[in-house]
Amino acid sequence: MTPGFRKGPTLWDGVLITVFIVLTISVAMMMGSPDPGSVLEVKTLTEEVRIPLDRDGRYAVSGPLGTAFVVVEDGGARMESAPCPLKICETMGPVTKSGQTILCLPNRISARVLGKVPVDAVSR
Amino acid sequence: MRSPGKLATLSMLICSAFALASLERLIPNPVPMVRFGLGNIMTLTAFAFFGVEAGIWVTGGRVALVALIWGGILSPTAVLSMAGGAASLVAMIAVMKLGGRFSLFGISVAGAYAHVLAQITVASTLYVRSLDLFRILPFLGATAILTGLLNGAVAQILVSKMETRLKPGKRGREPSDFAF
Amino acid sequence: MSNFRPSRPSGIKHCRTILATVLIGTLILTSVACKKGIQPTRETRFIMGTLVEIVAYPSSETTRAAVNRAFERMEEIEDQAYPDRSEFFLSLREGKPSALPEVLARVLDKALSVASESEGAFDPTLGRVVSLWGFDRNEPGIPADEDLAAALRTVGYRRLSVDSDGVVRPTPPGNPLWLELGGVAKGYAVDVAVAELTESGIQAGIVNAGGDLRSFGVRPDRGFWRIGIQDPDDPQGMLGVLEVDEGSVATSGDYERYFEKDGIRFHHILDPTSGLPVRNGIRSATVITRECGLADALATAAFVMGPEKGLALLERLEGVEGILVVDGEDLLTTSGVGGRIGFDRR
Repeated sequence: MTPGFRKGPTLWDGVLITVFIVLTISVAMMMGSPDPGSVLEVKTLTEEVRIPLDRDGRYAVSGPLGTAFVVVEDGGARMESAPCPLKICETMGPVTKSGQTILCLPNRISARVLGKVPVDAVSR
Repeated sequence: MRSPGKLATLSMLICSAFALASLERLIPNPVPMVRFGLGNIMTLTAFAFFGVEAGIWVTGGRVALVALIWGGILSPTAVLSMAGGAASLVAMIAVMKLGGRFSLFGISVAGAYAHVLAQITVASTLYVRSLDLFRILPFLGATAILTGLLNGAVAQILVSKMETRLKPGKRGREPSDFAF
Repeated sequence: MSNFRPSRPSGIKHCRTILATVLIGTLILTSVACKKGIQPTRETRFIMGTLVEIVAYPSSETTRAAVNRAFERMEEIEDQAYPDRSEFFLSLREGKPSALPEVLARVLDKALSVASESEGAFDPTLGRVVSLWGFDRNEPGIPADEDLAAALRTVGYRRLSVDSDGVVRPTPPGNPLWLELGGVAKGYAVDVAVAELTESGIQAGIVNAGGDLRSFGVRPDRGFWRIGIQDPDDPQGMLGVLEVDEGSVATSGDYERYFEKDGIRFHHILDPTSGLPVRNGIRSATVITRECGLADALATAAFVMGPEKGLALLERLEGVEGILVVDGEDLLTTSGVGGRIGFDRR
């Protein structure tokens, strides 16, 4: 055994600590801020409401064609009983992850899970 | 490791490490999940006085005692504590083997950081099963750097005090020259 | 004792070194935190039958005002580009020559150029057929054969001429002309919105009209834009992610608007020769090029032309790249995708 160390913080300590600081910063940048929990943002032509995805329920949302229901259950949301003719919005759910969107164009309703998304836009 | 004096000092270091770790568990935590890792001060002291092997004994002893007395050996806390202790030992030994360029400060910070990193890794693979835990790494990592520096400073003071007390008049000599 | 080095008395000096290091580290951390703080303005509005989202950097009152102006420019185009809003379309349907609204001049020009490049695979005169299927009114149904045959007789991008003073004349005279410019107009509106934003001095942003989008400027933090490509089989899934600088991305897919009857999917991309939904194995066609109006028309053209011819068209055109999703096959991409334009498969 050959113990014995330099006294006081050395230059190399500084280098080591810098490495750790850089590591910490890069993880912070990769991870972003802690997720505040999933929230669904429902927009119609006239209003904008936010529903936490852990609050189960059947929420009435009205658009120019009539009333549709946003069903929140098992941490996800989907559209139900939509008054639009094609009912494509009903097949778009359930949405669970940040950025996922249900869109009912005829009835002018959008429902999007808030949060950080890995892409700037989706071409569809 | 045969000298009775050395053995006694080592035992005292383990005891102190255990006492400090226990103290830390008892005092209320200012921020959840942040640990000062005071027990590591004794490991650092052991490294400085007796070398790598002694440090392993102190950390191992501390972790074992904490697990035995404060919680089941296979409880999540104990498993995390063991993982943290092992990783911190590996990191500190690695830094020391880099050839005397680092002081107790650097070794201590390396140990503290490795401790946090290992605990998060083990917790997210064994218990949480998601990478979400790594979101707290920046916070815990920054804290680890600070507590590591703090522990390093305390250990350094302790080592120099022990040097002067144990061998008055021969300040500055290498600690391992002491005959126990 | 090889590791031993004598204690050095100059501890103060080292303390300074370490303090300086920590200080620099903190400064870096702060600057990174500030940079992460560049948040965009994000606004949505229903325009041209779709949800338009504008994201513009940085978030400020000036940016928001510019975004609103961009929306207004798009709404101006909307007012003139749809048959139910403009006399222009209605008189052409009766076979009468009609003065082309100024806003639509560029739109029609682009539509006709893509029509001739694709030899009619994309055809802006398909309006009567689209209307029979009811996709324009969201009241879809299968048209009767004789109605379809009659409607097809009005189709043909060569059945019109635009004279120098901007009057569109059906040829031969009296031939009813059902122009359908919705897709190109939507893309063109995106181009106009981007022009409005850049003229207002907005640094960077993206205008996304229901999946037809155009990015401009250098995105803060990352430098380039990441554009997801929709998975045709999963409404919430992405097939991959494109990494683009400034430019447009538009996709035509069979999942956008469709209805199902007896288990068969009837989608809104119609073949100008048969008047029926295109069935050639393509599920979606994505086009990457500078102008969004062109991208939209080219995506439709490539979809209609099918895997081989569609890919050949996109490959042949300068400054155009594309990705075709084909049933039961790997993705088909033009040579620039994956090289000049980054693309990550999911």
